[in-house]
Amino acid sequence: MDHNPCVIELKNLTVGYRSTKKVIPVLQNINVNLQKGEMVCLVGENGIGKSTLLRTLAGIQPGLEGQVIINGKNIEDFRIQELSKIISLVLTDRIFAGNLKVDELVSLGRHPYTNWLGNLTPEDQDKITWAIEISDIKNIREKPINELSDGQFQKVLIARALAQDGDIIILDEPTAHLDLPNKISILKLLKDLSDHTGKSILMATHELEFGFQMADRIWMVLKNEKFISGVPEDLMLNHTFEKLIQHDAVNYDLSNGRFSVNHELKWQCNLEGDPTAVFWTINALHRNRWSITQEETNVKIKAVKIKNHFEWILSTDKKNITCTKIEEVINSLKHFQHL
Amino acid sequence: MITGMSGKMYKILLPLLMIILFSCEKENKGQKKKETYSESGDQIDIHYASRFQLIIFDSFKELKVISPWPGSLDTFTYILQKQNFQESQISVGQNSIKIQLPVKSMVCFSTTHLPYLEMLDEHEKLSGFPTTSYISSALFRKRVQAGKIKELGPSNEINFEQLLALDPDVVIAFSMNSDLSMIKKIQLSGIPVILNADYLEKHPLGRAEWIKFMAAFFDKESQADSIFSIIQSQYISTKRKLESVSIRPSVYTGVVYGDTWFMPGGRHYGSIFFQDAGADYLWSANQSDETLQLSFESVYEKAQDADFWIGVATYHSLKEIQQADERYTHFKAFDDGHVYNYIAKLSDNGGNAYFEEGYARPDIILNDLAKIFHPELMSDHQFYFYEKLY
Amino acid sequence: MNKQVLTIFTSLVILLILLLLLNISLGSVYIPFHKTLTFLIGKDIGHIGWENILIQFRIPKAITAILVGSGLGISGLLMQTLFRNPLAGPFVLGISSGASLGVAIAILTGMSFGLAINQLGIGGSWILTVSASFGAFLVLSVVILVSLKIRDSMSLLIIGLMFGSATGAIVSVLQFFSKAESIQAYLIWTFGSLGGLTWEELKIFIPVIFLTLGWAYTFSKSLNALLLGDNYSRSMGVNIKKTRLIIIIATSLLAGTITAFCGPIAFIGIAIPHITRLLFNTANHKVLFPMVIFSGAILMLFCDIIAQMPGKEYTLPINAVTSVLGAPIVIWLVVRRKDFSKSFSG
Repeated sequence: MDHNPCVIELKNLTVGYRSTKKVIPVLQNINVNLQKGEMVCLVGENGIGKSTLLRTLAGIQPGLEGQVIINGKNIEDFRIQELSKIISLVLTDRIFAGNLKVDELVSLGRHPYTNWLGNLTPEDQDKITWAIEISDIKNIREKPINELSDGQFQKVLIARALAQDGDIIILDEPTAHLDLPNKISILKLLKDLSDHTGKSILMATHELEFGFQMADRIWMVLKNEKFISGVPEDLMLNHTFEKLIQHDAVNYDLSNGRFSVNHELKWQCNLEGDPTAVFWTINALHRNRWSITQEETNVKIKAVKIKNHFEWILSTDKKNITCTKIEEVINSLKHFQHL
Repeated sequence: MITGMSGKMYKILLPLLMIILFSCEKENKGQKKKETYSESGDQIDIHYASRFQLIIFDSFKELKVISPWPGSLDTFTYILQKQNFQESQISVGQNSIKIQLPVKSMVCFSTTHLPYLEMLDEHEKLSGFPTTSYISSALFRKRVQAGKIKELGPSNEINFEQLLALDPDVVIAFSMNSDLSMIKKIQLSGIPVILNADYLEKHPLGRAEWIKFMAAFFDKESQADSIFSIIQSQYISTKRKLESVSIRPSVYTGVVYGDTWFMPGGRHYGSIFFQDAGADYLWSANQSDETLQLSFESVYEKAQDADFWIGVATYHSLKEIQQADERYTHFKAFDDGHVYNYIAKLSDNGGNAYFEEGYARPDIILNDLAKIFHPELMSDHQFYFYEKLY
Repeated sequence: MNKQVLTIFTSLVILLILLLLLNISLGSVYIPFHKTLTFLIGKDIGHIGWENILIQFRIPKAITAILVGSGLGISGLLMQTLFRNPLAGPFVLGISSGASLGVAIAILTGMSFGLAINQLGIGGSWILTVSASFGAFLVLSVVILVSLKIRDSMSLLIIGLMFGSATGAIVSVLQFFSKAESIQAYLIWTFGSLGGLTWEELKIFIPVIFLTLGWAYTFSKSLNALLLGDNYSRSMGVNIKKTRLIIIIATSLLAGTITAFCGPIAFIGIAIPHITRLLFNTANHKVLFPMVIFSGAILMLFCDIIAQMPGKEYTLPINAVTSVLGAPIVIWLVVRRKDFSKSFSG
């Protein structure tokens, strides 16, 4: 039993689309909770219905069946204004207002709180400033958003959601087009929010690597639309995770949590030596379709660490070759491929 | 001007020559080359109209229509083959056709063609007409109701089948531009089409003179001549009467549409009417024979103290005018109640005889106008087309 | 307001006053400038004709120009924000098509319709205004019904365009069966006219436009939210259906009233929001709104001065001037600011 109260409860929830002629369910009979202060990652393959689910939980798209309970109250019983003070969103939608300055966009987050003229009180200003600082965009405050990089823009969207000051932040693939450094800084920001502000964060993402390290809980949607909730490590150890990424071309190694591409291995060799060098040498050998075996082969490779660099000694029946780079190892091996 | 041969015409011709010098304008004739025929013919006298010519030969008549639409440089030649004569060997080219006389059935495209038929007593020859509801003349309306005049649909898209079934001897049409495709289509089916350019004449008598054009189809040239002489002499006698008035009341005309007030230019026949009726038309000094497009305020500036406002589109009362635009009331003519309109002869179907019979009877229009401006000189005349608005 | 905005705003106010004076002073009738000024400060100039021209023609026209420019500018702004589409303008919902249809029926079917309206006690100049309003209202009703049923604002755009085509086709058919004079009368209506309003009509025109502009300003907050899209707006507590409805109503009141009184006036509604956005480099409606009002009034006064062909007796149709003048202005601005598309997309 958790001590933390549930901020979102899903009871037999079915989400999807309703048109005048028919009803198209996308995900069905979901029963899961989001707890206060939790960070949850929603994972699943493209098109399976993550965005639909998020929009339904955010209250901007009606569900088909079942209930969404926010802070103990059915979402349909909320007035939109009330709800907007509880939940804020970060989406992948395009924005058509390139002329807006960063602080103007962030200020929009105060929409639920301001009067009809949109005037900002000192309290509003404080929240906006806090949101800007915590999102690390203070130095671009005056810039129009069409001059921002993707990473900066994403932070601005998050700042806006923060300024809205709800207990729950829902994000749809916030790191989708970002490069690695930007991805990391955004995920770190979110993790910090979750740890220090007590906000609950629900995030749809494809960043499995980071998600599994940072999320308190994973909501996983499998191929057959089965919905599973669990602590990341449990999902690993009970092999649920593997079901997510089942693919012929990929192997998953549970012991180290690594994916390895399934190369069609053709030739065999023996390998031993320094563990770090061996680890990466295997990576290169596999890519070039050489497998490593304990049985006797004609090609033997020994990886040696000499002070701060590495050397490889290739031995065959005929000769020994010393390489200082893996690139040379690969090139040399090409000669032996006919054996 | 070539003198005619008919004895009757000779008497009127000399005094006419004097007047012609003052009032007639010559239009650009276009092709000046003369056809050379084996016969010799008499050109009939035309004094005011500039867009048609008629030469009568022994076995045929040559009817020419000049510049039948605005900006046209073309001349159309129609050979009217007299009855009981051998068919002439004249070849017809692109802008000419042959017609066999007498014409027993005719289709006209405009209501302005109809008064001539009525005056020449040939109204029974009209067998079809586009949009018969436009006709004002009581005589023709009776015939329409009796089914003697076939309805042919809107004039810009005539019902061909009906027209073909009617098979008239000739169609009298008009064109506003160089697109003659519909006319050609009718001709291809074997029905001759004659272009009428009366609407482009700039002098009031010029329009009326087209009775002579219409008469050619029915061999009634002398009748037409007589009728026109009467109209002409009545017009001129009124004009003469008013030439020497000492006071010419000032006059303006028209109404504003949107931001534009359409005002006849100084050489437009509207202006000629006013001047001939003894008034001072405020735009008479203008050199254009087209309709001017003026701003409301420039009309106001010139005409705010004018004595008369004549011709106000479809308004029936001063109240209607005021409701249409309050600014009309700031003109002195309105304030004094000196507003007249040509709505005395409206037909119940929405037609106005002024735009039908009026074109054939400029003498009546002139008398109406003269009576407005100088009632003391026109006590014998009763208003026909015009009435005062209250 | 920051300093730069304040400077530009002050310049606009001065420009507006200058153009207003110029507009009143210039026309086909020559009135010496100092006489105009003398009259405007309330003194007699001893020339009834000129006084009448100023009071009855020039001043009402100038007021009309200001209201038309602001009204069309704001309705264009509303449409561009609602649909997040730079090509939108006051007439995308088919309002002017509806008005044109009403007027076409009145003019082209001739006297019978006019007589019918006369029975209702509406005479003269009001016939066209009422017919236009009726047509616009009809289209508006259908648009509102549809907008209440659909989730996506884009569908409304398509419906508006379809209305435009349909009514255009009907008007063509009506013209086909009409007399030349009626066709010309209708054609003249389509040229647009700022000078047709007397003080009688202004008694209704001024309050309607003024109040609608004021009302529209009160939802500039929601307009800003709409910039982010329907999803974000909903999540911030904006009632999309209700907001869409009041935007449509405000636009229709502005565009419909203006078209009913002045005929369809092209181009201004689309161009002014862009010009303002580019001049002020902002998307914030709290700033855009008043700036559009000023820019619209200024441009319209300017176009009207040109249309009056000062010194000549004839005038140009206002539609011709707004299009021929407006297009190069927008092109120049767009070329100068190479990132035009960026001001519209993020």
